[in-house]
Amino acid sequence: MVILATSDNEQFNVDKEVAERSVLIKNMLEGENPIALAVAFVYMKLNGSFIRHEDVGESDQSIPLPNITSPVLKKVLEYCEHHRGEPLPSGDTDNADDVRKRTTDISEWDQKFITVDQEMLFEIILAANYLDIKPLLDVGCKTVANMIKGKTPEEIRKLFNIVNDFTPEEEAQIKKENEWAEDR
Amino acid sequence: MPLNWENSFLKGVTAYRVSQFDEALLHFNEAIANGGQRYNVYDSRAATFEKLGQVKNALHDSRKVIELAPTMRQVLDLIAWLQGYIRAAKLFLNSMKYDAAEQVIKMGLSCLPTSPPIRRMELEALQEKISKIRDKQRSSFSKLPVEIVLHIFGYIVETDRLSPILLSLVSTQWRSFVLSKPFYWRHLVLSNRDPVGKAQEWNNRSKSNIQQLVLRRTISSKQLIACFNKLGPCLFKNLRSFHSEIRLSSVFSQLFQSKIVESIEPSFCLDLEELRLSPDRQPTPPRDSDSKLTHIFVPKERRLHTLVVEHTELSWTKMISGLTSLRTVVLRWTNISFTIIDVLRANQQLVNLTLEGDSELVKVPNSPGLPHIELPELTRLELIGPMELVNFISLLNLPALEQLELSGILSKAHTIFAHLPQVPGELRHLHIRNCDFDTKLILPVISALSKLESLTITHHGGDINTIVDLLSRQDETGQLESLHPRLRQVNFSHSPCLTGGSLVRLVKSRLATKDVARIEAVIIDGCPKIDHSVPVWLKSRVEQLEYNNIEGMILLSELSRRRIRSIQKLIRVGRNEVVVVLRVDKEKGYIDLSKRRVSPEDITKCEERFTKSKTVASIMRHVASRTGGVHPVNGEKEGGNIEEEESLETEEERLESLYESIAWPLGKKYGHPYDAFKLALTEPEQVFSDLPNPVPEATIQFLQATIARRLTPQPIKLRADIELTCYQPAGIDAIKKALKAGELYAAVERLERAIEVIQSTIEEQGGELVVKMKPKAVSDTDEQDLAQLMAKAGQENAEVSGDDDDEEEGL
Repeated sequence: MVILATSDNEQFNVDKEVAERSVLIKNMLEGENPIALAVAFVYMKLNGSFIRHEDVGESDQSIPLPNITSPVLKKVLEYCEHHRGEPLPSGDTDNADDVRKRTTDISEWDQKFITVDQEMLFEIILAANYLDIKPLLDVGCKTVANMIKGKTPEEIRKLFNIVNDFTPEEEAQIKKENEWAEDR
Repeated sequence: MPLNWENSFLKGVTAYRVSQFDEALLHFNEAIANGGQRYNVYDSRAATFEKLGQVKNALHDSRKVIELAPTMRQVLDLIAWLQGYIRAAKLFLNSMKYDAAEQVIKMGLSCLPTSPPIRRMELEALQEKISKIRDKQRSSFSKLPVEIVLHIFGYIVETDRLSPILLSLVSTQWRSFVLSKPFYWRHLVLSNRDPVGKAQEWNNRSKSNIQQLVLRRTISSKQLIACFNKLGPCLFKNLRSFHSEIRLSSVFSQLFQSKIVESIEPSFCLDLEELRLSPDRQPTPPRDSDSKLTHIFVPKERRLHTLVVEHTELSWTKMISGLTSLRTVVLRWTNISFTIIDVLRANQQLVNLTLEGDSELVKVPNSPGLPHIELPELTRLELIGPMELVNFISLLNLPALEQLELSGILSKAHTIFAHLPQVPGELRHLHIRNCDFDTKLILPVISALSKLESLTITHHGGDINTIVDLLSRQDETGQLESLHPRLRQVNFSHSPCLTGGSLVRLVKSRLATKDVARIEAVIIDGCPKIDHSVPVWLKSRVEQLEYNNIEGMILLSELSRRRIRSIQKLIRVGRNEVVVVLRVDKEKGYIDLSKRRVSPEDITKCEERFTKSKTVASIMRHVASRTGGVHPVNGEKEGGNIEEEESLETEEERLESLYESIAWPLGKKYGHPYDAFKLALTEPEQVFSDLPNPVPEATIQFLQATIARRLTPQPIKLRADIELTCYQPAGIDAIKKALKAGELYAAVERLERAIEVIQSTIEEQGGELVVKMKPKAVSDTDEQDLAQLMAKAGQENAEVSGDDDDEEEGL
């Protein structure tokens, strides 16, 4: 068992197997990644609970996750729980050939899982990024991509509350570019 | 009573202070009604409204406060008056209308003299609050780190070529993100919309690394040359995919003359993987060939895997000889100076081959004993046109062939199978369209194709029923001889001999047998011997049935401009939908549809037209089925009631001729035949007298009777209120008499005249009539309803630009 502590000081008891969906936690537990360890130590120090290197793998100390609130972690753990036991994606997949195969398909369960409000969606993406859970990050990003796809710039602005901050001159240029989008 | 309102006002204030808001509201209303139209009264009422939760009214009163600027510019007055701004700002803030709130605050601040700092502080505090809320809201997307944003963009750009443009138009930040990735800008599509500017821009954005170039047919060669000048020779170095819908010969000869191409090595499209030359087909091919192209598109590294050449003359030899990695080859009506055999020999990993043209294309050198060509990976072979195939086909060895399509082959198509070195046992899809073949000779071929999944035989004049029967053949015990256990789709369109019986047998035999796939799709367009009952029977037994109807597809992205919560809500099988046709592929029979691009007004208009046309169609069909149509021979025999056997034409033909001679001319004249029919209810002579072609009297009469039965309008209630008085002796009798005189006129437009008569009669008697309400239909007519609906829809259309607020909150 691993104990995870969120920023709002809630503790989660999680199976090691589930927690290790997160590459960050995995590396911390294995003590493989000196940088991750160092980062963890700094956080722990900030948290007021400094521990020695040998203690990291032990279960009686909690791993602090200062960037993540408990509702978000709960959601993330739900994902990890569902996908436990699946093979972790091999580290380096971001080459040019892979880009071609990228699709925006999301499996049914993931789709249901990620049907949350915008705020939560972005929180999950940030948490997945921080915890280094690549599949979850992909699901989140695909969801956002699907939200954006097929929308006009105006609709996108409305969707994410983005302010149109172009100057009138830029606005004129934009009008011209909009014409390029119609390229039949 | 000059100070009357002040009393009410004070009462109201008192009530407000003890939280009796309803009562306070009454007093304030009274105060305003009695001359207290002062800003402070309105402000108090606004406060009361606010407490009562009536935001709109509160805002309304706040606006009044602002409008009623105090005349005495005394400090206390000002302070009280500015309360209006603050209240309005707060109200807007609470209802999340931040723009409006900000504007009000700005207005308030600009009106504010420097002296009283209290209000200023309040206003400024509000302003800060708004900007904080804004920050929090905005942050939802902008708090994502750049690499994640780019990750997201990557997904969008991969699936939508246009998305980089759209994404770059959202905000300056997004623009900088998208522009930071030259990779996003590698697709360039040039049309006649400022192509030079676009080429320049894309060249910059992609850091001169355009990988895909598409030339639309709208671009002129002058524009194109200017574009190439802008893009420079680098373009060809990096190009992976080149697709032209225009003829390039003149463009390239000019490019060769100008300095831009001179400086280039003859073979400089090193990375080209995909080449598509598909200009419009011209009746006569241009005299000058695109020989210059040959120099350009010689991929030294031999990466070209897709070659599509349509209606273009190329001098090939040089180009083709270097190619060894082709996987897809499509040649349509090109003049070639090589033998296709050599190409096939050099590219043995060919997967997809389409040849369209005449025998020239598949000419095989006349030397006996040529070795077979092994194409172990070829899965799809399509041959179109009047070709003599025997020599060609007998050379091919196609062990992996899964799909064979033959269209318009004039030489006997069954010989193809006879000459194939081996029966293509992997064949899953066999499509023979408009080909000449001997039914008997093709039967053994079809029965040998045990993996067959779909079979198409169209425009076959021979006895197609034997083929259909073969598919459902039973052995002596009545068991299905499942020769094709995987067969799921059949298309026997345009077969004059196909009968419903064998088709029904085919579907039925497979429903009853286990371990055999059901027939899921049946397409029988234009099969005259199939009567109406067969499609009805089939409909409940197969999933997809096409008969004279063609199915279109609504692309998922074209469903709605809004976010789709439930597809079922938007579209449902069996519902009639108004859609826009985006593209039609006549050859394949594909229709792409869009629901998104239809505006609500168009839907109403369309549905109205559809209902009208449907009514007309049902009237016409009824007439066609009961009369001899427009031909007098049949029409007069039995007074417009003919048995079907006697008629030489089919019902469909009669229907069409009826449309030609009656409905369409009327439609031209009256806007829609429906309107003409409506008019014909009252004035048949006028409507039917001037038809261009003579129509037998009996048909017209029957038509009129049908129209009368189908189109008689619903009774409309009319109503007028009148007051009848007579103070003369025997007044009651006078009134009775007058009303009786009016009774005669109980008709639609005559109600008014009836009233006139009542009036004149009663006035003769010295009485009087007052019309309280003019005659008016109680229920509005359809037209008015429609007009209102349209106006509303138009308004909505103007307002809704995309998702509305409510929908967003759910995200």
